[in-house]
Amino acid sequence: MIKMAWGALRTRPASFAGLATALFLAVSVITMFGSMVAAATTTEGGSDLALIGGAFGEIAMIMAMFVAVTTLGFAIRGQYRDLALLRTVAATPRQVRRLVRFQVAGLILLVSPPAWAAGAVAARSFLSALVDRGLAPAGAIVPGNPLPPLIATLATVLVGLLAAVFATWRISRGTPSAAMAGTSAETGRIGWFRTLLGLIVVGGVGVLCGFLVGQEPDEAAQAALLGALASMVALALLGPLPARIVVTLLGLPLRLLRGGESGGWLAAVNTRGHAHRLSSAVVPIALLVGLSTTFMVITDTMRHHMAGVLPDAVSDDDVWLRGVEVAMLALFGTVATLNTLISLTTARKREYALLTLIGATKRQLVRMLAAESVLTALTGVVLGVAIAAPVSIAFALSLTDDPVPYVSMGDYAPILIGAVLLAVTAEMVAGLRTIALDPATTVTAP
Amino acid sequence: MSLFGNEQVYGVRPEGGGAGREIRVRGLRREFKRGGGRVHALQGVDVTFAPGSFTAVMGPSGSGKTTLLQCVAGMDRPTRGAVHWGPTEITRLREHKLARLRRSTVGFVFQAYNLMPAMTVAENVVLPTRLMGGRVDRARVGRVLTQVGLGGCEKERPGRLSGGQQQRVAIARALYNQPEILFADEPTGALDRNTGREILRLLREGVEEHGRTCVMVTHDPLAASFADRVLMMTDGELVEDLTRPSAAVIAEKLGGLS
Ligand SMILES: Nc1ncnc2c1ncn2[C@@H]1O[C@H](COP(=O)(O)OP(=O)(O)OP(=O)(O)O)[C@@H](O)[C@H]1O
Ligand SMILES: [Mg+2]
Repeated sequence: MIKMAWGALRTRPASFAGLATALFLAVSVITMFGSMVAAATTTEGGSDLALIGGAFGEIAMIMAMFVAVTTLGFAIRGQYRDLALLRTVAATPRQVRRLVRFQVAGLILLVSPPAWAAGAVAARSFLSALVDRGLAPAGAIVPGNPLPPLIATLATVLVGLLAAVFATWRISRGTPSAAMAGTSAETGRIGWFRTLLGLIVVGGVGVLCGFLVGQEPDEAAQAALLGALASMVALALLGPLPARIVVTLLGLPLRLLRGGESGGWLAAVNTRGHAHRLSSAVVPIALLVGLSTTFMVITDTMRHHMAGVLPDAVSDDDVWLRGVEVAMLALFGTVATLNTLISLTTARKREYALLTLIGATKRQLVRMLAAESVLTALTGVVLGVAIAAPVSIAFALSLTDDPVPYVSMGDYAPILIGAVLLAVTAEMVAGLRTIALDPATTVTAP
Repeated sequence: MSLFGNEQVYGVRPEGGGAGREIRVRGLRREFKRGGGRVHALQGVDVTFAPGSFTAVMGPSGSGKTTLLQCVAGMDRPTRGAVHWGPTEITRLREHKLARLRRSTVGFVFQAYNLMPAMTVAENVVLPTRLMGGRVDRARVGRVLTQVGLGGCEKERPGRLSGGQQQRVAIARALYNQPEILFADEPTGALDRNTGREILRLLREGVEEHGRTCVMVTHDPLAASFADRVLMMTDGELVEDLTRPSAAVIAEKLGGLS
C-alpha cells in the first residue's frame, strides 16, 4: 500500500517536485532561524542577534509555511480524481485521509536531512556576514544543537498534516458518487466557512492597519509586513471572487478580439469560466508582487522620510539586511509561482487535446496560451498591488501625514516586470510542452 | 507494514451461495441541485431484488438508471427513502462502515469504468482487495482476466487499452472478489456483439453457479434478455416490470416508452 502513496507521487512529478521544494524551504528556513536563536543564546551579548534573527525569521517562517501550505493544498487537489476513484472502489474515507497523511509526512521526512544541512549552512553564512558588519559579536558561532532541525521537521509535519485535513475535507466526506461529481466540475464557489474565515482575516487586516498608523517606524514596518501576509491569506481564502472580478475586467480587450483565428476570445472565455483554477494560479504571483511591493514601500518610504529629517540616519547595514530579506521573499514567491503554474498548465493536457481534436489549430492554441498567461500574470500583479495598498498607505501615514507612500521606480519596476516575465515564461514553457503531446492518446487515457 | 493498517476483512462468500441477502428499496427519491432549480432523478422507487436473481434495468437516457444503481449500491445517498441489504439498512450507515460493507459484499462496474490510470491492469483488478488488507492471489487474477478475454494483459496500463478492453478490466475488478451482489452500469456498452455475449454469459454463470444477485443497466434488448427480470424506467419512475421477456418483447416495450 505504500506503493500506492508513492505511485501517486510518481505520476505527478511536477506537482510533487514543487511540493518537495516548498517543504524543503520550510524545513531549512526554520532550521536556519532556530540555529540563529541557538547562536544568540550561546553567545555573550547575543541579544541584538536574537533581535535581528527574530524580526527577520518571523516573516520568513510565516512566509515559508504559507507557501508550503498552499502548495500542499494544491498538490492534494491535483489528485482529487484519483482519491475519488479510490472511494468508488470502496476505500474508506479514513483510508483516503491516511494515504494523504502518509504522503505528506513521508515527503517531509525525505526532504528533511538535506534541508537541515542547507539551513545550517545558511545560518553560518548569515551569521558570519552579520559578524563582518559588526552586527553580531565577533566570537559568535552557530552551536551544533540538534533541537532546531528537530523542531523544524516537527513543526512542518504538524502544519502539513493540519493543511492535509482541510485539503482532503471535501473528498473524504460524503458519498463516493458526490466525490466523483466534485472532481469533474470545480464550481469555483467557496464554502460559507471559508468565506467567513476570509472575511475575519480581512477585518483583522483592517484593525492592523488602524493600529499601525500610531506606531514607531520599526514596529510599523514589521506590522505592515504581517498585514501584507495576512492579506495574502485572505486572498488565498476568498481567491475565486476577486480573481474573477479582475480577470473579467482585464479580459475585456481580449474578448473584443473574437474575430477570425484569434485565440484571445477562447482564452478569455476559458479563463473566466475557471475562476477557481485561475485563483490558484494568481495567488503565488500576487504573493510575490504583494510582499515585494510592501517591502519596497516600507524601505523606500522610510529612507525618503529619514533623508528629509536626518540625512545620514539610514545605514548601509540596514539596507543590506532588507536586501537579504527581499531576496528571500522573492525566492519563496518564485518557487510558489513556478510550481503552481507548471502543475496547473500540465494538468490541462486533456483540455488542450480535446481542443485540438475538435479542430483548434496549433497556432490558435499557442495564442490562447499566450493570452492566458499574460492575463494570469497581469491579474496576479493587479491583485498583488491591491493587497499591498492598504498596509502601504497605513505605513505612510504612520511616518507622515501624507497617505501616498514613496517608491523608487528604479527598484520597483524590475520587480513587477520580473514577476510578469517569470509567470508568462513558466506558463508558456509548460503549456508548449503540453500541447506538443499526442492529442488522441491523451484524450483516451482514463 | 500495511499503510491502511489492519482493516477487518469480511469473509468472502463461500462458493455455491445459498441464503444471500434480499435487497429492498423503499420510497427512493433523489434530487440534484442544478442551476437554480432541482432535478428529480428518482421520484419514489419501490423494488425488491431477490437473492440470486438477475435483473436488467432499462429506459431512455436520463431516466435515472445510473442514479438508482448508485443509490442501491451505497455509492450515493438518496434524498429520501431506504435501501436494505438483508437486515442492514445501508442508507443509515456512516460512510466508513458502508465502504467496508460495500467492498466485502458488492462488485460495481461503472458506466465510466473508473480505472486508476497509474496502476497496471492487475493492480486495478486487486485494488478493492488491497484496500481491505486482503491477500492477492495471482493465479486468480490471471483466471478472472482470462474469463473476460484479457489473459496476459496483467502488466498493461489502462491508458494503452481500447475502450472495450478497459471496460472488461472494470468487470474483472468487480468479479475478482466473487461478490455476493454485482451492480453493472452498461457493462457491455463498449463491446461488440460476441464479446458482449461472453461477458453476459459470465454474469449469468455467476448468478446460476454462485447464487450471486446481479443488477445490470443496459440499452440493448438482447443483453437484457439474459436477465430473469427486466425493469423499465422513465423520468425517475419504474414503469414496467417484466419476467423473462424475450428480446423482441423488450424491444417493443422499450419503443413504447416516451
Ligand atoms: N450529479 C448530478 N448533478 C445533477 N444532476 C444529475 C447528477 N447526476 C445525474 N443527474 C441528473 O439526473 C437524471 C438522471 O441521470 P442518470 O445518470 O441516472 O440517467 P441514466 O438513466 O443513467 O442515463 P444514461 O442512459 O444516459 O446513462 C438526469 O436528468 C441527470 O441530468
Ligand atoms: Mg447512466
